[in-house]
Formats: sequence, structure tokens, C-alpha cells
Amino acid sequence: MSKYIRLFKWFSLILAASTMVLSVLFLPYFLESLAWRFPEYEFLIDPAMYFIWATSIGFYYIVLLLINICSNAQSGKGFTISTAKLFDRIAVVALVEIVAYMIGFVIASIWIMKANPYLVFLFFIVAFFCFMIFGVCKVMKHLLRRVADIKEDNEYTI
Amino acid sequence: MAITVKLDDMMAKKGLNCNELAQLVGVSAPSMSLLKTGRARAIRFTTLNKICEVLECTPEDILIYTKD
Repeated sequence: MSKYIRLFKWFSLILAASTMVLSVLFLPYFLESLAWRFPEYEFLIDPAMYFIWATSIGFYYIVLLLINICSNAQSGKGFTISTAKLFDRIAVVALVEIVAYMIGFVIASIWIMKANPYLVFLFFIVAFFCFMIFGVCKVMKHLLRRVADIKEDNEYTI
Repeated sequence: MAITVKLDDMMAKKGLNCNELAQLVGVSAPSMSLLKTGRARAIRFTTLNKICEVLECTPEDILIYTKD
């Protein structure tokens, strides 16, 4: 099991690093190509790029928290309050992302809905994805707290 | 907590220290220490039974109930 956790940690780290590199290197070109197709929305390149870069910080932070959770699991501290708190922190970050992407969705609906509705719904899909993360993490936090309490009770039973 | 464990008197009567009692009861020394210092949350009937057997006493000799 520990082998799979280690593999997952490395996979998450590599995935986050490659996403970061790709977003820094290719995102400007992708947005420029979109602006080339829709020149009337060229002014949105910079805000969109900064928005994506800013919101991606949250995802990198989530990956970092996931790696911490994996480390806790590896060191036998999986069922503890600290792990539950890490899940709670992921839920908070996911909530911030939901708010950011819903605001983005509303703004994009006003500005570019006619030009590219698929791009607008991309905001909605990301927000929905974050909502799923939020829900799962809140449930996990609740369950882990309960398990940690039971474990502590068991440890203090003579 | 309303129920406290008073092992000191009975242990003194039997001339046992914490480690010896733990060994005779079959629990670890840290567990016995938890019980002695009142940090334990619960005690199994089997453990209580063994303690009473070793100390030759009844549960009411070692468990004290006080109203909050």
C-alpha cells in the first residue's frame, strides 16, 4: 500500500509541475490563437491569462495538501485530526475556486457568450469539478474526525 | 469525570508498584499509568476483573463515583 501512496505522491507532483510548465509556456499562445479567431475579444487575453494563472495557484496548493495527506498516511497518521484538517483546507480552497470560477462564468457570459459559448461553459465545468472536490473533502473531513475520535477512545481504553 | 480510579491504596496494601501491577494484569505500563493518572477514557470489564483479582478487592474499592 505504501508503494502506491509513494507512486501517487510522485504522480501528483509530476502532474502539477507539468501543468505549471504547460500553463506558463503554452497558455499565452492558446489565448493568442483564440484572439486571432475572435479579434474583437483581444482585450480579454491578459485578464483571462492572469485569471487562469491566479486560480491555478489553488490547484497547486491542493496538490501540496494531497501530498501531505499521503505523507500522513505513510507515517501511520492517516486517521488523525490533522489529516481531517488537511481535507478541510482542501475544501476551503475548492470553495474559493468555485467562487472565482462562478464570477468568471458570469463575466464571461456577459462578454463572450455569443462568440464562444463552449469556453464559457468551461468555467462552469471547472466550478462544478471544484464543487465535487469540496463535497468529497467535507465528507472525508467529517468521517476522519469521527474515526480519529473512535481511535483515540480505543487508545485510551485500558 | 465523575468516576475516578483509586489504585494507590490497594497497590500499597499489596506492596506493588505500577509496573508490577501492569505486568500482573497483563497491560502495558503506559496503559496502567493512564489508568492511575485518570487519563483513561474507559476500562474493559476483563481488565477490571484482572485488577480486582490481583489486588484482591472489588470494583467499588478502586472506582470512586463523585457527583459533578
